[in-house]
Amino acid sequence: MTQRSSWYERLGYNPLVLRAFRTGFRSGRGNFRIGIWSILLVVVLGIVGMMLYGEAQRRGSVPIPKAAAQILIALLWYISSVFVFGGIQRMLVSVSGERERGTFDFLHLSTLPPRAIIWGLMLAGHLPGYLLLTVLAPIIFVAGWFAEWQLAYLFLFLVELVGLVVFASLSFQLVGYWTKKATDLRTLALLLFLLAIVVLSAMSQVLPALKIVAFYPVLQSTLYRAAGAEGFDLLFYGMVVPLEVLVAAFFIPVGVLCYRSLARCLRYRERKPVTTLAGLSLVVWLQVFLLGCLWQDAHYVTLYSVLLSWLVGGFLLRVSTRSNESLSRYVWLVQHKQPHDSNDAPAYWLQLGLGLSLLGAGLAPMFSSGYQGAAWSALCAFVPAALPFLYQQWLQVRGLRGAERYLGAGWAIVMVWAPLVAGLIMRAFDSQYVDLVLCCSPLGQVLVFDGNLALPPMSSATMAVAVTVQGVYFVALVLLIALNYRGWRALQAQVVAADDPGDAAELPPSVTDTTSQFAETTVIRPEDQTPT
Amino acid sequence: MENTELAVQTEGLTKVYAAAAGSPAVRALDGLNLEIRQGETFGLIGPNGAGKTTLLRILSTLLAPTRGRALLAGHDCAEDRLAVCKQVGFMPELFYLYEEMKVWEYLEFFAGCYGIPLRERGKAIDDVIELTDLGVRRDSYCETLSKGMRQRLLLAKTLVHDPEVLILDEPTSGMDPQARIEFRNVIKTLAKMGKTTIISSHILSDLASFCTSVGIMEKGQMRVSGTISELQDALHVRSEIEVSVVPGDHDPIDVLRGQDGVSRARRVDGAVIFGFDGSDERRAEILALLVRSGIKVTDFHERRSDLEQIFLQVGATEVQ
Repeated sequence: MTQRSSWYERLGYNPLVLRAFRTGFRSGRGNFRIGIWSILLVVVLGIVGMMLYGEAQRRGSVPIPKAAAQILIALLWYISSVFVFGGIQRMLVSVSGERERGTFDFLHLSTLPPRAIIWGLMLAGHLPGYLLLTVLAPIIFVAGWFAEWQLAYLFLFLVELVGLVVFASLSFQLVGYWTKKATDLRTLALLLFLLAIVVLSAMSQVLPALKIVAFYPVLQSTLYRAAGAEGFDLLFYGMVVPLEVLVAAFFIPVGVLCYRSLARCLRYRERKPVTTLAGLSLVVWLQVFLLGCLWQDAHYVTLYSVLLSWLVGGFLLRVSTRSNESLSRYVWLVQHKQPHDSNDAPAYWLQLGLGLSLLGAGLAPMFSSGYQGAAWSALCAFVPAALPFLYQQWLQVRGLRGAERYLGAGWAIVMVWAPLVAGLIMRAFDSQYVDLVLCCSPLGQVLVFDGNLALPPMSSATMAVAVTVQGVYFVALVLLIALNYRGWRALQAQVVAADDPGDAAELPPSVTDTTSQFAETTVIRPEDQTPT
Repeated sequence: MENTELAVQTEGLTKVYAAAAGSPAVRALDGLNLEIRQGETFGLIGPNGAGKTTLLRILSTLLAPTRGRALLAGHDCAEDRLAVCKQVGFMPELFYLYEEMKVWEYLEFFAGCYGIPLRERGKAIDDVIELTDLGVRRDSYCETLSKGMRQRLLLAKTLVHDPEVLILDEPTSGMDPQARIEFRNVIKTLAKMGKTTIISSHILSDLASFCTSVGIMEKGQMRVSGTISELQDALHVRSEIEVSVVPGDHDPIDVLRGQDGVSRARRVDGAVIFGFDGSDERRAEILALLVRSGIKVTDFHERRSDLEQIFLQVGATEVQ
């Protein structure tokens, strides 16, 4: 038996990709995909043909307004984006699903390299979306609205979007740690958002529908910062700038680099996750830092906010679903010489990577372009945003369960997201209190101070109120922790008894009983007798 | 230290699961030592929670030991994963098939995962399909297979890369009697092929029928291990003598009570059965004693314990 390990074997012939091809386009799901694709083809070709090659075209005018035509063309990309994000969803779900079903064990038992497993699952998830895009590109070209290079950039932009999300997912090690349900919900929210843009753009005839985009400032910032102002237009008008190539060139390789790290982390018996993840975090944040320095663009702090949104949202979801894993608990177990399982180490170190990421997020902007306000706002944003997460860990260390576990998540939602959403709604209605409300949210602070929302500078009074509100949040957080003090003491008394895993006499009663009962082990076969 | 004749060797294997919130740490394996020779069919017995599955998962590289080491075909399960994966086939108790795949596709998928070259893949699949008698369902979708068929397919998948060591965790659970008989035959065939097989099962009669050696685990340690006859010979208390007598004035149990080498004398279905630990001469003396006591002995023979009795007696010894 030979073990193929060439790059072609890993990328070109991957059993997981073959499986996706073999099973993805048959049965109900396959029919659905092919059906959607056919409908798109027929409708779009019909419209384009009518617009461009019909009688109206020959007369020098098109039968529908240009804005509507733009919507139609943009619709193609919206729908394509749905497929792209659907691909991300399938990618995330494929890893989570394999883990939840237990089939990941089978893959790990094989001689397939771990990175090939992750690569295969991800590629398999993206295949339908990319295939569709590839087919749609010539249609857009035939429509005549774009030059060839524009088409190439269009494609690259979508690739970049995917790369950005994959990058964010991988850098925070969310792939495989989200449950299927959490992944589905998150993707569904994203898809609904995209569809809402389409609908409301068409209704308002104002492209892009800025008021809608404002409801999701993270995406707004991402598009603006990663793709430039023209990239912003791209999503809605189909324009593009060459900067995409550069950004994509940065993002995609980093995402690919992450595969191996992720694959190793997902192995149950990873022995050196700290080097992998610390290195990964450093690479990721160094890359963003260098980009910021290169372009003297302090606005990369906004990119941090994108990643933070994944970080906070993703980890809160993960914390609420996999509450038995935390770095703080691991550290506590080690400090108290409590038996700990190496199986949990990857998850613990994942969170160490998270901590490093937070640190990088807070420090990197300070060196970007002397935009001290951005650095300050970043620190304001990330430190408070991390508190609910730390509170969650605190609860876990103390072994509290039930409603208390979700208290931290709810707290994070109230603290981070609710003021932001409220502020943006108020902004949509030009409320004079918008900046005050926004500044009650750490993320809102980033947006305001970074100038993304083009608000006037805050007055001292507004700043004082915002700081006071956050101070109240902090005090309340401390109070909540204090309320759980009794539970912590009770659990501490329970587990401190088990101190040294190497000494059976000090293990918990159940373990001690086990050991003592086997003081006399009978080994029957004399020649094979082994010391006990 | 490493013995090439040994298919499996563990030294001080310890596995401690970390304390979860509100529950203490669990020591699933506690300094377990085990040696299994090549070509053996080793039955792993033990109550739930004994650590059987943990041991099997460590041997198949799915878990890392907390301490100690496990060697499979001479390769360290924690350090040399790739070499171990080539040599081992693991069939878990609970499993999931890719329902949307056909039987041959499923096998071909895993053949690809194991790096079997394309030109050899067809033969490998044909061989395991024939061995597991899945020929008629070759083109069926996995979702249409019955429980027994699924077990067979999983066994076929386990065998597709021709591993030297098979690790089967509760392979016959949920199977009907016919499927169990067929499975038993497959295991015997594999034994003839020289494969080393480790089977964890609660169905002791199955194990007794095809295992060349067994090990009884409890609470993370190997209580006893060896061939069934070795166990019977070495665990003296397991030797039992059954005495049939004509009812009379004297109770044989009264006579046997307090005699050296005699234990746990009781009446079962009219006969008297007692545990015996001693030489043949001593056994003859016991018989002579019964006769001298006026007891009319019609039959006096040694009962050989089967696997179930061994298992129960190991547990009873521990309780004592």
